[in-house]
This record gives sequence, C-alpha cells and structure tokens, in this order.
Amino acid sequence: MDGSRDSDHLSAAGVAKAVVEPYRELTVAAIVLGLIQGITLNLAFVYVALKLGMGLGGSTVAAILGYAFLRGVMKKGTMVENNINQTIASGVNTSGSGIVFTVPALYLLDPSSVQFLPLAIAGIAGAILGVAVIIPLRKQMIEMDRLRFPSGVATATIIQAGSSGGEKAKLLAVGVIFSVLWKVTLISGVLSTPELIRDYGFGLGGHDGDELHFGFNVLPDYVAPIVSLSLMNMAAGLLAGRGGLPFFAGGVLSWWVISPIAMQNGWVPEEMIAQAGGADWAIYGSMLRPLGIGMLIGGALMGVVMAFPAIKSALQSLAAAAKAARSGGVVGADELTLKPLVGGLAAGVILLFTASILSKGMSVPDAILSTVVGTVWAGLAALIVAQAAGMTDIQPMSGMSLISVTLMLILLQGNIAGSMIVGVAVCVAIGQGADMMQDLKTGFLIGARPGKQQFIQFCVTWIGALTALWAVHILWQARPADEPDPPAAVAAESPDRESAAEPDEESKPAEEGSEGEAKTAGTKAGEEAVKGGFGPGTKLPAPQGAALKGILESLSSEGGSASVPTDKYALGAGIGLLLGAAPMAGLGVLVGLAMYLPFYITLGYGCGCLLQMVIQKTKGVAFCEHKLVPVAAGLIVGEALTGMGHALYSVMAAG
Amino acid sequence: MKTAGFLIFVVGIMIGISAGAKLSPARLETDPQAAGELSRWPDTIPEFGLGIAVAAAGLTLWWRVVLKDRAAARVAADGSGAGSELGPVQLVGQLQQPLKDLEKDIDSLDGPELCSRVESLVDQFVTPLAEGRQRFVDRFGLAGGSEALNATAFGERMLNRVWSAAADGHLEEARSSFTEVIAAFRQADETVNRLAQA
Repeated sequence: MDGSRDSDHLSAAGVAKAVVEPYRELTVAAIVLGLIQGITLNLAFVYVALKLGMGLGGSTVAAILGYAFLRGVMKKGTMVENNINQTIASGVNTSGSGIVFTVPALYLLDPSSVQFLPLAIAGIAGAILGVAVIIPLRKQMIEMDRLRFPSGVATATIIQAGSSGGEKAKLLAVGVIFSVLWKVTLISGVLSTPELIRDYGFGLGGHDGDELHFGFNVLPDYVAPIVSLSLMNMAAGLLAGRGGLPFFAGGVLSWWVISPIAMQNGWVPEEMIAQAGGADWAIYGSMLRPLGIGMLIGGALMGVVMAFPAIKSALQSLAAAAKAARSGGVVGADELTLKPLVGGLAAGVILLFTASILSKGMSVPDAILSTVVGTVWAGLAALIVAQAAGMTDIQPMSGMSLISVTLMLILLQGNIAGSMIVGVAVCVAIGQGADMMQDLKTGFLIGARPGKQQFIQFCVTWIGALTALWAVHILWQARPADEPDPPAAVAAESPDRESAAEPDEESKPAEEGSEGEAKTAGTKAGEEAVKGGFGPGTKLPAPQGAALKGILESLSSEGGSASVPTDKYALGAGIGLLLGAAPMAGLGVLVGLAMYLPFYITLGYGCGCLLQMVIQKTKGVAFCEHKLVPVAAGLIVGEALTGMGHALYSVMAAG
Repeated sequence: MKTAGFLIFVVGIMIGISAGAKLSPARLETDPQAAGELSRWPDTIPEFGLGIAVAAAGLTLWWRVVLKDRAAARVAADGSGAGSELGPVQLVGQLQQPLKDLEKDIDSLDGPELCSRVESLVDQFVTPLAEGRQRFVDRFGLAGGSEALNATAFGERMLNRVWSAAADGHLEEARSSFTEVIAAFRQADETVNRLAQA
C-alpha cells in the first residue's frame, strides 16, 4: 500500500464531501447490486455445473463490478460498501453449489421421489446453519491462527486497488494480465504435446493443458510425475508460504513413499488398476483419498479440542459484545452477538427437522436422528472445509458431501430421499461456511464491521439455495420436445476423470473429487434412459449428479455398504487425531487434504510455497507483503476470470 | 531433542499411513455378496498400531520440549525475541507513543498522509505483533494470550479501517475509527501488564 503516491485522486471537493457524508457500508445499493450479481452468477453456475461439472466463483467478479458500479457509476462507493456487495454476491452464488451437486442425483434416480418443499426447506436450513456454525470461529481462524484465505486476500487486494490506485493496482494488473495470457495459451492447446508425453514421457497435457508430465518414461505413473502449471494454484502457495509446507509434505509422503510401498508389496490388484485406468488412479481412489478424508475429520476434531480454550474465549467475547457496546467498550462491540447466532442455529435446526419430517419414509425418530447428526456433521464439515480453504484455498467439498450422504444413508437404513434432504442441507452449509470465512478475511483486511457482513449473510444467502433449486427443476422440466428418448442400453457417457473433476471455483484449483465414482457412475447412469432435461445422453450431462447417483445406487444395493471404505475413514481419522495433536496448528487437515487431492495440484502448490520462502529470505517480509501479495492476487483473479469466461464460452458454443 | 521427537513422530505417522493404506479383504473381493462375509479391515492392523504407538511416543517427546521452551519464555520478564527483534509484549508497549503522536496530528493530515502514517505503524508494529502472536500464548497461556490477542486484532482491523476510510476520502470516519484503534491497543497494553503481574 503506497498511499503517498495516491494524492492525485483526492480533490478538495472530495475531501469536503467526506466531512458531511456518512461512511457508506451496509447500503441499499450494495445489497441490490450484490443480490443481482449473486442471482445471476447462481443461475449461470447451475447451468455450467450441469453442462461441464464445474462451477463459477463470485467474489472477485463481484468486487470488480462493485467497484465499477459503486465508484464509477454512482460516484460514491466505498471499500467497505463494495465488501458488502461481494459478500452478498458470493454468498448467494455459493449456496447454489450445495444444491447443484446433490439434487440432480435425485432427479436422475427417480424423478417421482423429488419433493420440492422439503428440498427447499433443507436448502434454507443449510444456508442458515452454515453461517451460524462458522461465525463463532472467526476470531480463532482469522485473528488467532491467521489463516491466509488466499481468495479473501485476493478480493481485498482488488477492493483496495480500486480505491487506492497506485502501485498495488499496477502489480495486481500485472498479475491479472500475465495469468490471463498464460491461461488462454494453455486452454488453446498450442503448448499441448500429447505425442511427446506418449513417446517420451514429457510434455504438457490434461484437460486444460496445464499438466506438465515429467516422468520421461522412467518414473512410474504411481509416483504421479505430473505438476500443475496453474498460476492460480501456485499463487495460493505463494500466499501461504512456509505455512503451506505441511500440505506439500503430505503430498510427497502420499505419492513418493506410500504409493511405491503399496505397489512394491503388491497391494494393488491388476484388475483394479485396469478398471481405474492406471495404478495412480487405483491407489488414489481406493487408498489415499479415503484415508485423506478420515485424516481431515480426525485432524479437525482434534484441532477443535486443542483450540477449545481459545474458542471458549471467543464465544465468551461474543456473549460480552452486547454488554461491551452498551458500556462504551469498543473491542468486540461490532460483532454479531450471541443471541442472533443462537437464534439462527435454532432456526436452522427447526427447518432441518421440518424438511426431514416432510420427506418420504421418514418417521419422527428418523427425523430427530437425522437432524441431530446432520447439524453436528454440518458444523464439523463446515469447520474442516473452512480450515482447508484458509490454509490452502482448496475446499474438499465433494469428500465431505460424500461422507454426509453415506452417513445418512447408513443411519436411515437406505432411505435415499431422507438422506438426500440432510445431504443437501449439509452441502449448502459447508459451502456457506468456507465462503463466509473468505469474506470475513476480506473484511478484516479492509476494516469492515464483521457484524454487518454476518447479519446480511444471514438475511440473504438462502436466496441462492432456492434460486438454484428452482433452476434445476426448470432445467429438468425443460426437455426439448424434439429430443428423442435415449436408447435404454445406451453406451455410457462415462465421464472421464477431467470432466468429473470438482468445480473449479474461482480461487481454488480443480479438485479432482470423484473420479473413481464418476467412472463407475457414468457407466451405470448411461444404462438407463434419461427422461428429463439433464443427465447422461443429453446436452446437460450433469456429471456430478450422475456420479452421486451411481454412489447412491451402489450403496443401497445388496452388499453395497461393503464398498464404503469405512476402514480407511477410521484409520485415517486415527492418524488425523494424532496429527491434530501436534504442536503445529492444522497439521491433520493439511496432510489429510494433501492425501485427498491429486498430487499434481499439491506439487504445483508446493512450488509456490518454496518460491515464497526463497523470495522472503532474499527480499524480506515487507517486499512479500507489499509486492508479492498483489501479484499473487492478480494471478488468482486472472485465472478465475479466464476460467469463467471459458466455461461460459464452452456452454454457448455447445448450444 | 525437539528434532528427535519430531522425527520419531514422522516415522510413526509414515508407518501408520502405510499400514492403513492396504486394502481390506472385503474391498479386494469383486463379488459384493461374498465381500459381505470378509473382514473389512486390512491385515496390517498390528503394524498400524505400532505406527500409532511410535508416533504417540514421538509426539510426547516433541511436546515435552515445546512446553519446556514455553515455560522458559514465561520466565523472561518481557517475552522478548532473539537478537534485536522486539517481542510482542514490548511492541504493544512501544506502540502507545506513536499512536498518541498520530492522534495529535490526525486532524491536520489529508488522506494520503494519513494512509502513509498508518502503513508505517502497520509495518513497524502491527505486522511484527501478528507474526509474534504465539509468544503471547507462550507467555500468558492460551486463555490469557487470547485475551491480549483479541484486543490487538481488533486494533489492527480498525487501523485497516482507518486506511480504507482515508483512501476513500472519508476523513471523518478515519478519525472516528482511529479513536477505536487507540482504545483497543490501550486495552491490549493494560491486559498484557495485568497478566504479566499475575
């Protein structure tokens, strides 16, 4: 921040105006603009997710448009006002993600089982619960642990650059331009060399052309000799620095120690390798990923235990906030008090119970069980995802969602409709939790009042869940009349690993979530005729929904529960508990996340961490804060915008 | 000893993860009905247990050294850092005068000047404070350290608000927010002194 170079933009009239006008923060303009952007992004997100299996982010776009409208058009916007705008936009957008990756599975399984009202209530419950459970952790995550939240930092950099001008804006712009050019080059495929990869084991490949293979036909595929050249991924590592090293170490441990051990000991059958399409995917899908999910859970649980005194202190300060404000104290007086939080939590629980009791085949004891377990799990899963996002900018939503549905399916003895109700609520809650934390990080960096952000998020975020639900329903109903029925035994539109990749949200790399399941699900889904507006064989293949459908079918079949890797979850949780107890905060979550993700993402991120450490050692902390951060933010923003543009272009080009 | 504890912990974790990665007989069975009758746990559970035990031993050793270091930090009167680096406790105390100086000057500063002064405070005091926050906890324990950190974090956020308001041209808001900065860091200083005397 170099304010001394910014005097040009402040005029005498501007200063005079400032004396009389209040400092705009929670304004009608910000709310309306945020809602318009959020709903628009949400609808686009639903369509793109059903088409391509990936999503669109919201914060950075909203911050840029907010600056253009509030400052450019209205001529009076402030940074904190823009922050409210992007908080609303991203909240409304994100609450749709929990819907679009779960509800389509219900339509594909059995459209007659879809009950709009319980799903709508569940979506609203999840939106409220997600905000309520994560707010008390704001102090711990953002102020005590100082989790980086790279997306939040990037958004704050945009907001500040818009108002301050000067060097920071230039550095941000350099990062954006470089990242856009690089991403476009990669997407164009001009650098892709599949023949070189095949013949020499070296070259660029992958869905977005950003995977650099360096095996040279010498390193076996089970050591995953691929690194992501995504600048967004590397920038997340740049922002994390030394703190991200355990994440990198977890990836190295998984792929350069565990994987060779598994192969050398013959633990991976040939049939499994053939079915998965390679030893690396077999090991990843059946060993590393479920262990990683278990470690995430164990690590997060232990993290809560270790941080309990600090969390207790944070809750006490929330309880004291109202009293502090009345007695003239300032610290904590601008936080949302405990009363609305407890009220929100109660409302969320009641709504979740209502949704459960209204769904088919649910008795009162079942509804109570699913409400209690669902609420507790939503809280824990939201914590895990928010922590992971804070440390690495990567959100393991698919893993947490999968656990949610699996857990409920087991508890409710195969009641798919009932399980999905809770699954929807939990998925929405997870997304909200991480999004709220990113926004609160942005707010901290620009001096926003957290109570205002939290209040408005409570008020409006549920709109996104309803919007997405309505959009999914409309798209299912809107099957073109001239589209022929697909043949009953159509060849499966088996999503390949790339198209089944997790949503490429704006500031996290594509999270390869459910490839194994996607391959299986794609095969199974394609065997049945799809009679609605989306699904395999249609113009909107809904790969995530198809993957989840396959899992649900598998789980509810006879002996299907044997395919749930409960041993891996449990053993991973045991290791996660130990890692979480280490005198290094977040170790369980970081290592678990590294095992959960494909190595090419972890390796690229690790390169960013190491680069930051070298730069900090040679140039110092101040250089990193003032120069490196805006450039890294620009890299994240540039790739997010390009990815979004490319997704929309792909949708329009495909028709 | 710290390194030894850490290394033993890492070795234990590696053994545990390796053993836990092996697939169970049920998972290897392709017939779902037959799979239901097989064990759902890998046959490397003893090795997994060994790994956990080794990791637990390493963790205990590691924590022992860390707690010893933290106790030593509590003994130091001001929790100061190595070399010429100011400890967070000192930083909170030393921040009071620059804040008072800025309070005196603030009415005569324009937006860019105020931004510059805030940046200087952040670079000299607030960022080092944030980076040394663990030493608050080492010195005063988790509860006490959290209390001090709550106040400093609030002060930092309000300083960011002062910068934003000044950059936006809202000097009145900047000045008003600055009073909260002063109150917060004063509270932090009082908290630190109270805890130090306890």
